[in-house]
Amino acid sequence: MSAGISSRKKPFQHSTEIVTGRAAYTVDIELPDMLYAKFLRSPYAHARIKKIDLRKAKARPEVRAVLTYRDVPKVPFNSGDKIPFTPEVFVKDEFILDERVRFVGDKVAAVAATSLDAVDEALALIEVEYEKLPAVFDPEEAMKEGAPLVHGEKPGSNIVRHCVTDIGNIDEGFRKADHVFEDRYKVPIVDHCCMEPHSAVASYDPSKGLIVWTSTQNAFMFRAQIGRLFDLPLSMVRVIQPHVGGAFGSKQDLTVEPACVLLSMRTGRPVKMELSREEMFVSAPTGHSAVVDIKSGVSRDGMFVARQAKAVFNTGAYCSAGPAVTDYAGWAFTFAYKSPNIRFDGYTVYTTLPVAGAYRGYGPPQSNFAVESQIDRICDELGFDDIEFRIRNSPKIGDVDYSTGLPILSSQYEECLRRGAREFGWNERKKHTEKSGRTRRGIGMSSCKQATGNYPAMPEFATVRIEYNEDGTVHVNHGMSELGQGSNTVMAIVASEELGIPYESILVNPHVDTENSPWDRGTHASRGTMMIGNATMLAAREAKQRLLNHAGQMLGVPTHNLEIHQNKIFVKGSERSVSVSETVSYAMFVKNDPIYAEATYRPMSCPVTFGANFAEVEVDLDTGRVTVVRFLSVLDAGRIVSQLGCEGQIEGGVVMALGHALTEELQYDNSTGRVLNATFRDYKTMGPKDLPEIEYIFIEENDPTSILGSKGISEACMVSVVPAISNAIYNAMGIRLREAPFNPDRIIQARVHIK
Amino acid sequence: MSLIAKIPIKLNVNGHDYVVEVRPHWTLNHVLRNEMGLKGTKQSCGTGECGACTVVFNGKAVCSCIFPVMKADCGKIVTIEGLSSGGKLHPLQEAFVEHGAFQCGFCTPGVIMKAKAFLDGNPAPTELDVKEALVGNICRCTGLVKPIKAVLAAAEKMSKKE
Repeated sequence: MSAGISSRKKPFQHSTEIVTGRAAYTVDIELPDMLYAKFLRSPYAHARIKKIDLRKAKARPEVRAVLTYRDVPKVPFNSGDKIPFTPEVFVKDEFILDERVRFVGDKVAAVAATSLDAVDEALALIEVEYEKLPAVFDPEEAMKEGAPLVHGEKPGSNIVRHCVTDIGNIDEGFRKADHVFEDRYKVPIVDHCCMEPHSAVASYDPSKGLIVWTSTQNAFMFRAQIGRLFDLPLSMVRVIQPHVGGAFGSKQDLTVEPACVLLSMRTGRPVKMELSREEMFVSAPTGHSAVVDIKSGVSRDGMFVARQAKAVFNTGAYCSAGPAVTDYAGWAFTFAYKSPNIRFDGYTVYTTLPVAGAYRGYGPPQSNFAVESQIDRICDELGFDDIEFRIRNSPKIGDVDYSTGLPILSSQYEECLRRGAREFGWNERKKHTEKSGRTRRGIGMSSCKQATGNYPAMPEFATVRIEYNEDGTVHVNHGMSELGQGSNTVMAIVASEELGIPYESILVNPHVDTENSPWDRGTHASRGTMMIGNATMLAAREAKQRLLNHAGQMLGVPTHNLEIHQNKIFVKGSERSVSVSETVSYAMFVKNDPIYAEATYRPMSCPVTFGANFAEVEVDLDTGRVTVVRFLSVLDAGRIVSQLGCEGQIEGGVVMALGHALTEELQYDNSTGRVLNATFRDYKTMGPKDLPEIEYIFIEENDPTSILGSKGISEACMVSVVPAISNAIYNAMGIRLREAPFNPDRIIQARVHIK
Repeated sequence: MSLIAKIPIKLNVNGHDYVVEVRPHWTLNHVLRNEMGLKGTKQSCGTGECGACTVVFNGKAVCSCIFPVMKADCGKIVTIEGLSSGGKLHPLQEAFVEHGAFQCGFCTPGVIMKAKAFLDGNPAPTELDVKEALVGNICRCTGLVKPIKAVLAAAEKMSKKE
């Protein structure tokens, strides 16, 4: 493949559709005779439905169906389940509708009617009598003996799962340590804030089967779940993912889809469901809040001898991806720095709060905050250099990842830290003791390590089909959901380079349709570029070879004497050529040989993306406001395929994580469990005037896992931003903030401790 | 709410005159999307806090999701569908493509329409002007970093043309 510097800057696939408003999202779908539907939601954090009177609602002429827990299949499921189903990780603890409700906003009933106005009216006419049950909101309280059980109809506790990593002998390790540090870090519940609400349209016809259009990031997982819930063969379930308006993990979970399907089955008409923004905040998946108790033993010469963490992840009312997220937080903790003795205890705990699920980063943001903040403290108190301490203790090429048993094949970790330090002026930073006055500037850094893809934890492969049209243009078909992260663009760039035809001649299927897209796990785990890029490369190579075979016949030379560039196939070293389109036509209509190829990529490793973040903040001690002035992200994500895409991931990922650092927290009332800030006005994301200068450096080294050489970037760029900010705040004012977000209240509370 | 009668109102949308039968509690967004089929204008929050539903009403950017349609009677509305003419993209749209100033694209029509109304009134903005103009728009994917650059680039391009 050519270096392709110019192709790196190619505009995104389907750009014109997007900027002209013609890109169709699930919320834009209208079908003839379509009904609209919504949920009635619980006003209580924990209750049993004693009585539910639907008579008035059903009497409305526009109402076509009302569902309660009595109407749904008695099949428990997990909204975020993955294939193959792993019941101990993805616990099946929910029903489409249930007799019990477990958080304020849980589903009580669903109404379908001919207009949205009629739905709203009917929802108001449903009369429910509840028996209130005791609620529990603090996960540490929920873990205690005697706490109200969130799933009390079954014996057990609120601990969904306890995962353990145990390397060496942790107690022995601490005995040998010269210095021991213990800290407690907390992160709040955060919201994904995808701009397109969760939505679906279901259309069921007993003779033809079921079609579901949905705003999902994994159409094939949804198909499997829906098939299982309604006992339909997968050949009768077609899931179509149109353009998706953002996901960030939240659209790995079923939300509206099962009820939408059931309503369509009941009414024989297409049904559309779309969550309101308030429902998005309250009832769609959130990011896990967590409490991490971290303890580190360090030797005199600055090596970790014991590392321990106990993390409690609050998964809310239902399991969703909770245990998987907790497991992965454990991976991040264990992998981050080497030590002969490491112990991680991860608890995933139920509370009567909104459900937490997959969220960009998937656990590591919670543990990185603890790990990277505590290292700052260790280095500060023991006088070690922050950069050298991290490099010295980090895993290196050839070291084996304890969790996967696989060796690290590529790492530019050291270069990321050194280069970042140099560019950012790290060595010129002053100690906090040298600062005074109302506004104080500080510099902080952190490092990150985030794996790419699911291998070997889950079966991992991706398939791409490439097909030449008779005019020489090319279609690329795949099962990877484009959520804006740029995987369609990656496929087009790789195909264009590999096939030797213009980028503009390539159309990547914008949608995933389980009826004709190759099976795929969908978009998560930073797997897009590595998985689908390599599959594209393999398919393109095969298609190109078939094309060259025909061109060789046309030109009367052996295939290896041919080369393709600028849409023409040349005899090497001469001007003799045939165009790609002539060759495709010849193959199809003279030789009856249509040209297409399908290839599956199966990784044999789980490459880790390494990186470093540097931040400069200004703290106003009077107002408590923290302003991020400068931010530098240095990443080793292997080969960069789409420069625009990678820049966009870093910018958007950093801004999202700066929100987590400074403002974002889904708040709830401690006595009722009601979410207090379910609007964009009260749940503040970073605005345009809050943005720092964001710079980035790619340290490119082809990762030997794959021929493409790329690793993930979309999570690595944001999983360790929060500690860079907390460390910068410490450098500014000499106070460690151990609970995010670092909002004005916390700064004002903290400033009294300034010495 | 079949009890509430529909009322005819006049709207000029993207240069064409329409008489639309509306219910008085409907928003402009509901009418554009659901009655007129103009799905390019999105709705994301429904409370005027994210800007995804922005259209230009009588020369000003408004959040169509909280704009009562009765207030739009006899008004002139430009939506994302009306921005490009004769298949040629508006300079803002070109700049968004060139700079990769979107990811999922759901907020993009709103950001572009906000920028359009803004540049009409301020053809030579500073970066801070653009940031201030976009304060009411949320883009979770890009953090607005590239959209701000694209708006500045479009302003420059448009000023050269004139």
